[in-house]
Amino acid sequence: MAEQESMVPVAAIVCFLLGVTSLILLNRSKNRMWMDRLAGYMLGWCLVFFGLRYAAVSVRDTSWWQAADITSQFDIFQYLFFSFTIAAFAIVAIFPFIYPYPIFQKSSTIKLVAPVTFFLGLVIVISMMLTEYKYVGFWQILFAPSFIILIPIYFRFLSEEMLEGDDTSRRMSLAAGIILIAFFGQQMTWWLAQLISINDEFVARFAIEAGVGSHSYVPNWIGYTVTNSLGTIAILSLAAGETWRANKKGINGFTIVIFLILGVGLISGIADFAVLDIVDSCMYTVCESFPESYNIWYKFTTEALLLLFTPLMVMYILLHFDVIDSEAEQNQWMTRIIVILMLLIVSSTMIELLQSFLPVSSMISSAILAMVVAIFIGWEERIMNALIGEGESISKKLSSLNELHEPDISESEIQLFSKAMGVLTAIIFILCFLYSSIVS
Amino acid sequence: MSSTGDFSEVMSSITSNNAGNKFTLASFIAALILLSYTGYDTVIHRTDIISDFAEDNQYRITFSTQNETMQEVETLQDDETTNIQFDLSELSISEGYSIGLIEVVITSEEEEGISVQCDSVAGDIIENDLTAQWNDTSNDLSGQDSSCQPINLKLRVYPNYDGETITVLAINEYQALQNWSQTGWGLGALSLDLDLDVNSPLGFDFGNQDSDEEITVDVTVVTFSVSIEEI
Repeated sequence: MAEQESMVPVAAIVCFLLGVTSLILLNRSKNRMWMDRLAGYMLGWCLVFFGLRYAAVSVRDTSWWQAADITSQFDIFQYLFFSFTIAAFAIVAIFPFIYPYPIFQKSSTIKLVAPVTFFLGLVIVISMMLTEYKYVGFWQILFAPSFIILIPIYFRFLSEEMLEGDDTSRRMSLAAGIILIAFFGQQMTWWLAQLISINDEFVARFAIEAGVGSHSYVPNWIGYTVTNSLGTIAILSLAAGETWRANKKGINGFTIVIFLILGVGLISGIADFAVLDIVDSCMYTVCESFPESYNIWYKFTTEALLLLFTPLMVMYILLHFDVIDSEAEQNQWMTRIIVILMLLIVSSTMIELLQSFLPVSSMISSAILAMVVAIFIGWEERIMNALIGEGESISKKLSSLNELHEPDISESEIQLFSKAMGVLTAIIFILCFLYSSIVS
Repeated sequence: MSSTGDFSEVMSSITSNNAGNKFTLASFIAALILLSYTGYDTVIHRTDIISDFAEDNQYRITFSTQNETMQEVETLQDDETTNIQFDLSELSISEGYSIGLIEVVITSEEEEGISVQCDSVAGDIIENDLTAQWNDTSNDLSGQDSSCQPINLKLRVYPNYDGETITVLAINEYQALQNWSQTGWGLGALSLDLDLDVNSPLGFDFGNQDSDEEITVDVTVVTFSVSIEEI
């Protein structure tokens, strides 16, 4: 069996490219409402931060860096990895207050979004740096607002669609559901393991493998427990909602995605239960390695969902819900290129991964890739129509319900978010460079 | 009526559907229940377990030994070299014991005195496929004597075994004993070369009376078992 290559460098390229393109396209979409523009900037910068995070891991894994004589506990790329992760988490914490149903609608609170995200990110980045990232896992609780806000939105609009026959409500519940998957996708694939409470054995093993220090693990484990539990309830809630909808309106793409994740979580839970002896070996004997088949399963499910499909979901939100003005002539060619490029990168990565453990010759995998390219070119129009043509703006729906305030807020005040994140990026780079030089 | 964007107005809009609120409430209650029992398992139960791993524990490892002996008596002619093999598989080693080291004592029949000129005897443990620590610095693989004294040779079989009580740091007993639970050491045969060079009194051997020597080889195989206690 060939050694499986990491998906992380591909994720770095996909996230960074998509993030930068989104920001460029948003700058050309001046006619969008404030919530679309602010949400677009937030998602764009979140993708950029995730891209930089994965890039730091990728560079650190190169033979060039491995050959370097690093004696300190952390090197610059580890500082960058943790810092950009925290910066992305800060955006994730604020995002549900803006999209798809803005909780912050007053101009005074909207103006606070940029400085609050900036300072929240900066304070956590610095405090974690000074405490050597011992408690970085705790900050996963920043995902909690997404669950608390998006679940009521999903059920409100799903109920309106089902009980009151308002088909336009679907775009709201769909947006809330996709954002929940984008934020909790990884944890959703562990739903059964969390439900039968065996994830604690995994976190204990990983703590022992990493070398248990003298500091408390409680803050980190609070973070993991909160996200794992919320992710579990999120997928079960979405499954319940989509089953209800499928019974009345039939199955659609989103229903299939939900049941796929549910199925993956079911199989993963059984697999996790089967390897518990191996997990516990760390505590009672010596750490044994997981079977190769178990690692392959997680690579193709949880890891692929997190690294490859989450950026695609964000792209879907940006395009399908008209956050970006993809209809504008100057945006069309760039949108088309980026969509096909993203789909091709992800498809070719999956084919390469399959080839790494299936006895398929490179000739056959090349032929499969050629077929995928042909399908994407042939169906380019259809794919773009599915993404853009049926675009349904969230802000227009809320406006039609008279539930969206249109405050007096200028373009420069919206763009302040982008400027603040640009400054945060620069500060993170300087801090990481200086701090890693000082402690090494 | 257009929205004013007040927080209370926004929240009442989100919770405006009764059926939706019931689903939301059910989800939130389920989340709280899940958080409480998984939180207990992770944050309280696992913290207790993991605390044992925060710092390595100190263990004292002591060795109980049992000796197995083998003996061979060989009569060598002057300038003769002979090889003796001791098959260690013939030993009956007790359950739970491992071979730690092998000690060899080579003794010649002659006793030192005024009229006796001691013969020169040499013994070498020959490196072969016997699984042992052949390159260990504490080994004595060769010895030679011409003063009627026994020759002592030693071969360490089990890595780092010297029979002395040791203290180790480890996260649990299993890992503390990991270095002392290896198998496969001491398999094979001990090969020994003996060499005799007869020395006659004052350099004369009238009637060729001192032309050979009876040499006794005593092999002691030291086996050990370990016991452990946390300090």
